[in-house]
Amino acid sequence: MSNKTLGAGGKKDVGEAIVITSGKGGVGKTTTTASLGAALALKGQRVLVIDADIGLRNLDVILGLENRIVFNIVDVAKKICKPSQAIIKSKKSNNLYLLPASQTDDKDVIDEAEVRYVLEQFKREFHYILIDSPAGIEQGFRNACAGADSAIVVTTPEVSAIRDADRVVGLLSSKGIEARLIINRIDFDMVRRGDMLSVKDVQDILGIEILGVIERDEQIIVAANCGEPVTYNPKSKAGQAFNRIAGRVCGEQIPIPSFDGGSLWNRLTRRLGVNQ
Amino acid sequence: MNNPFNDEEGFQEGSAVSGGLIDTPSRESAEQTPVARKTEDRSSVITARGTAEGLVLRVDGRVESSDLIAAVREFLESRRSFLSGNDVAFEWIGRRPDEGIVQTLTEILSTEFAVSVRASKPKNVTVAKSTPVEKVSDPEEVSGKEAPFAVLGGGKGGAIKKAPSASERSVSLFDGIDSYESRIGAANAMSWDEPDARIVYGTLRSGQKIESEHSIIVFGDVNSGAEVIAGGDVIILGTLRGIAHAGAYDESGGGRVIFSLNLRPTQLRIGLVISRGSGADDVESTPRGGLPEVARVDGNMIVVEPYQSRTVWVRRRE
Repeated sequence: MSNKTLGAGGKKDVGEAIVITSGKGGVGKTTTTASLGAALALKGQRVLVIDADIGLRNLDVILGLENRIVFNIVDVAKKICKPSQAIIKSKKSNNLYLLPASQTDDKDVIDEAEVRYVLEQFKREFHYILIDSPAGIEQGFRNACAGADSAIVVTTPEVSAIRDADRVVGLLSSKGIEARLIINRIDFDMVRRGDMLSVKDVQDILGIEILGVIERDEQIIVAANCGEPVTYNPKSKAGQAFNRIAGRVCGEQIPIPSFDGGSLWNRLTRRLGVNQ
Repeated sequence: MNNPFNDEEGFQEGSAVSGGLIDTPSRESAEQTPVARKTEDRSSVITARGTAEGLVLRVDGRVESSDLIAAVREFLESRRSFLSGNDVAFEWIGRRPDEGIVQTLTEILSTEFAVSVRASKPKNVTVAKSTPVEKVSDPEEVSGKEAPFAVLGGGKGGAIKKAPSASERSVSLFDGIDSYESRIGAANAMSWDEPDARIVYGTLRSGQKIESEHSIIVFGDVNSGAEVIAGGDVIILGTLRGIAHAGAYDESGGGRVIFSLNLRPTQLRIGLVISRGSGADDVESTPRGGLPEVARVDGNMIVVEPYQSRTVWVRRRE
């Protein structure tokens, strides 16, 4: 890896570390980390995704990089290897790198100071560092949040996920970390039928800025099994959503498409491609 | 443990064919009585083998005492660094020599080579002491010059022996195997530089990691996310989906191999060489799906080939 600091492409001298967390498990943190990382890399940003889920690593599988792992975040934290030795370039992009977690340790092997040290090693090399937090609010969560500049909270429109997200938002704000929200796996048909919380409902409960809304999409599962983020699939609605979110992360003003409460006429015209 | 059946309850000590005595092929030629014989080939006089109790020196007790001592000395001299500080047990082939000679050997071992001598198994000793091998309880059981219990047939032209009588059946079968083993031992066909292996019963799951300075044998699968790290060989009697590292403490890998009944690893490492798996996890998409394969270092890369029993040990002997 070259040793250059951020050049013309970067807005800042030092990259931004964003922790992606949720409280509840299984809402799509890892998928979001991989997809958003890939989307940011597509926009020309240098991105490092860090798997902080020590002992239950998954990000390497989602990115299809599991068989290239030699060193991991614990090795960097314990100075067993050089930081540049541990990061793995993704298959599809020269801008996207992975720092994998260790699978044979547990969350307690590193502490927050060591995570800060790890982030410092990479902050000058990358525009964005996305940290995939483990579920829960224990040591793994505290490690993932250490040294983060901001947070993205992922939730699904279910009461249990939202309650956990609410708790996490509170914990983050007590650490002085500002959180933005991604609502994952929403089904607008169900919302219209009144069977699912709408974007507005979720926003009312959590009261934080919404960074993006991702529809339920089978392509996510297909992409995970192939080890390629859904971002690379232009036909996937979720992929498009992640590309829009990446734009917003970079500071672009992209309105969040409103699918809520669309009338039959709106739905029809949207389907016919008249009213995008 | 060379002869587990020696300790069996039903074992009849009085039976003349009983045992703990091991017959060498040369034995079958002419000698009927345990006469001292000249040795032409010292390598057949003494061999070493590892057992559960430790190292066992197997010595032909029929060799003349002066030759015997010289042979033992020569044998130990070439293995001084390996043996010193260890302890060994004697096992006598043919007959147990006089107590004086045994005493002398024990002294030589302890003073010159810093090797202490364990007491051998009592049964082995008592039987060997008093009973000439050739006496057979039922003469019809063994014909002519054939060795009493070389079940696998001795040397060239040796025929497989008739079924042994009930009294000897329990031991003679295994004595036969011993005799076969000592034959290949004498021919130096086997190599064991490292008698230890860690054996794992069960499947290693994601996050589990086994490390040993010796070889590792797994009776089970090694799943994706699990790691096996061995100073010696890695032998997976199941599917290898995780990471295996053989010869981990040797930069070159020391000729170590990774064997699996079904090799679909995340990564293979031998010494400092690393190769990554194809990522394909279904049998159809692997080149030789489901067949035993062995990985070794060739130059600076790892090659995987179908397992053939011969190729591994032939290469290790080179």
